[in-house]
Amino acid sequence: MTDAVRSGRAHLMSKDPDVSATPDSPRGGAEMRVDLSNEGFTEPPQYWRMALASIGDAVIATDSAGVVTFVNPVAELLCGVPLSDSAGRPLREIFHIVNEKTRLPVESPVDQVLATGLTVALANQTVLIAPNGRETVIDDSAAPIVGKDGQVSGVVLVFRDVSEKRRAAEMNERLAAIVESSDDIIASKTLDGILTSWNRGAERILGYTAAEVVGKHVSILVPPEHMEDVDAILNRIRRGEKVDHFQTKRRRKDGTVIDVSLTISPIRNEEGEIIGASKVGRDITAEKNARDERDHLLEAAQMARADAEAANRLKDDFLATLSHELRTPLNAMLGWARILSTGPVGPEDLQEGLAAIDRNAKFQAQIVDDLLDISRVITGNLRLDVQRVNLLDVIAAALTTVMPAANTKGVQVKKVLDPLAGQVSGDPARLQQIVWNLLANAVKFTPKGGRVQVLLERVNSHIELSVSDSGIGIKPEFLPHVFDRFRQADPSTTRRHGGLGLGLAIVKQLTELHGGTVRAKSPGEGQGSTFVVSLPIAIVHQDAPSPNKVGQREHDEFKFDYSATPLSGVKVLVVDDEADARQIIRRVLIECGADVALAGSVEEGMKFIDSFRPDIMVSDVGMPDQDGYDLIRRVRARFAAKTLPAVALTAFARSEDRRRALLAGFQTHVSKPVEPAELVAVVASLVERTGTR
Amino acid sequence: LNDSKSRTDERLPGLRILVVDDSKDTARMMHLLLKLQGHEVKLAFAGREAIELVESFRPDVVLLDLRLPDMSGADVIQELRKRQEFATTAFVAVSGFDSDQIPPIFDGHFVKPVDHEALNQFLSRLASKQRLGIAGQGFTQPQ
Repeated sequence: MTDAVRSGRAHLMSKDPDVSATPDSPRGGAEMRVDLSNEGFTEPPQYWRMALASIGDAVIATDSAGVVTFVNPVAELLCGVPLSDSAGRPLREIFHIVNEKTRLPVESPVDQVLATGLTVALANQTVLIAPNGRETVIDDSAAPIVGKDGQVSGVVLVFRDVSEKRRAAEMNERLAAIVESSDDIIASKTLDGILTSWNRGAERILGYTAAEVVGKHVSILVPPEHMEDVDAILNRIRRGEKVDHFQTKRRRKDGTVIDVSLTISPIRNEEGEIIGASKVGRDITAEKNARDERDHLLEAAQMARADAEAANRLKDDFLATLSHELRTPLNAMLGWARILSTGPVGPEDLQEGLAAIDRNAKFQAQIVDDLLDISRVITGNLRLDVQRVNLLDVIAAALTTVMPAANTKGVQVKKVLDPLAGQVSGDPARLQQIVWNLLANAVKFTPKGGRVQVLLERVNSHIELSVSDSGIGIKPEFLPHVFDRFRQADPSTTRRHGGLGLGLAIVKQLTELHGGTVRAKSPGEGQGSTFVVSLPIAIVHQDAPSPNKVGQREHDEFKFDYSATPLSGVKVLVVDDEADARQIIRRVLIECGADVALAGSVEEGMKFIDSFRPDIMVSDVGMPDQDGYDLIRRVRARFAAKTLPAVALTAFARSEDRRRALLAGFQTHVSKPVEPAELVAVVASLVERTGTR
Repeated sequence: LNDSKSRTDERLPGLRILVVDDSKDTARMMHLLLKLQGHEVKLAFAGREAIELVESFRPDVVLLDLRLPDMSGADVIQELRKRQEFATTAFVAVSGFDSDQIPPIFDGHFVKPVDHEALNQFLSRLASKQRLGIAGQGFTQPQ
């Protein structure tokens, strides 16, 4: 402000003191036409001079020729031309204006008024340039001064510096643009939670447009379980606190719930009173998912580590147990050797000592054998010497080994053996190892006076060997681990039962090598256990000794003369639900020159009949769902026995089964286990007889 | 107690030793060997049996395995230590485990196979202390 303004000095240079105007605002230009005939204008010129000098707007008056007659202090300041230089000069000399954008000179509003006689209000794109180069953005307007005669006697030009306003407006625009272009949610709400603003980021992230949510309560965005958070946050805002990076969930318009991080701050009015809250939020769903994923991976890694540590502990426990198990018999042997070498002992002690050394050496050898077996199983180097085996012999041998221990302990062992259920294919020594391990375990874990039972029976196409005891049983939580190697229910050094923890692992591996399964059952601790080994029934008789090979042990799987090809070119369809059985028959038939198709079910068999067009069919009778009888009925509905002869292959060797098979449509019946020679002979004779070749 | 003490005093280095091991071969062997050394030996094959025998036999030292069919060796000691009259009895583990796996309640440990020279030395030392009446408490690790 200049001294002129501050002192209230005004310089009215109007030649006609009666002429004046009341420009209340530059924008009010349309109302500025002054009618000096108005009754109200009776004040002396001095009054107007003072008034014009003290207002905040710049005022310049000219005569009808555009020559300056009056300049107020604000105008003097903005134009940058001293009052003394202004009077009597044409307006255009002191009032240089250009278009803000184009920088081209703008026609003076005074000239326009003089030309048109009408009030002019300029758009606020005008820049006033002072002689010293200082620029001021102005809003301006000009109004004609109309004399009593109705003639335009001059012009009043009113303008004001709007630079500040412009800057503020620009700043607001810029801030608004930032808010709008932000990817984050930027919104505001009242202290009651009513949304008052909503940017494009909020629209994008939450799916609602501003129109849909402004004026509504924020709860439309909040999943019910997070409503309490909203109240808590509003309470903090009321106390003037800021909530930083609060992680919560919000519900989108489409109902999906996303993770957001919110920063909520109080909004104050000019008096500093809190009137609402602003919130800036970010969608952190992806981030959170990534973090969850990372946590999950970390957890998995920790679990893997825990597993590895558990495996390590298992190994340590095992090594401790192993050393114990090896040292115990060693101790007995060395001690007795010492006694026997100290000097003459009585015959009884000598006897006892030698027996003890023998027993413990064998016991230790057993440990070494078990270790080697497990090692062979782990490395895949265990080979079975497969023969036809009668399990009754195997069980008898195992019992012979176990009985002394059972008798000593006072454990009763009972056998329930089906004499017809004994035939399996397998390695007799390994099968004996299975049975022995189960029996020895049963005796070991059964207290004095308890019972052990071994049961052998045929169950469908399997032979099941069960060993049950009335012993200590198995805790349900340990049941899944009984067959794990090195695993013992009680690995501590103070447990009551010795052993390496390998026996059942060996049983499982050996059973599986025989194509069987083993399972453990126990109602719980102290309630006994049952172990069931299920082995596939032998499908063909193996090791059938030929007269010239008597006494000669050979390990060939089948003792059958494969050199002849009696079935050369015969197409045989084999139907059996058991893969092993199919493969064995296939091998026998292929060796004899037959062309073989294998089907695992009646349906599959029917398909092969059309696609493979067999000369003869060999079918198992007992199959799940549809059995061999169903199959032959369907076959006979389409093909006569002459066209497609059929052999029933079944474990049911009773005469009524034979009759039933023949009645159903089979031409002959071969019982399992099948002699390869018999099967080949039967197939060959049927094909010959029916002439299907 | 005084009875047994006076007797061991007369017949050095004889100690009253109870061997507890469920392996009969081991127990019988220890019995014979210790008897040959002049000790008075009794055998037990289970924990409960051992506790009962201790009552009547009043051994100077109990050599026992960690694992017994009915209870652990440590449980046997725990039960006996509750009673004043067995406060000076030495309980020594004889087991196939390493020393770091022996519960601290044992007064000492011999790992199988037992080094009989070391066992004899240990028993002689024990007998000497016994004579001086300082066995039991303050007992030192034999190995």
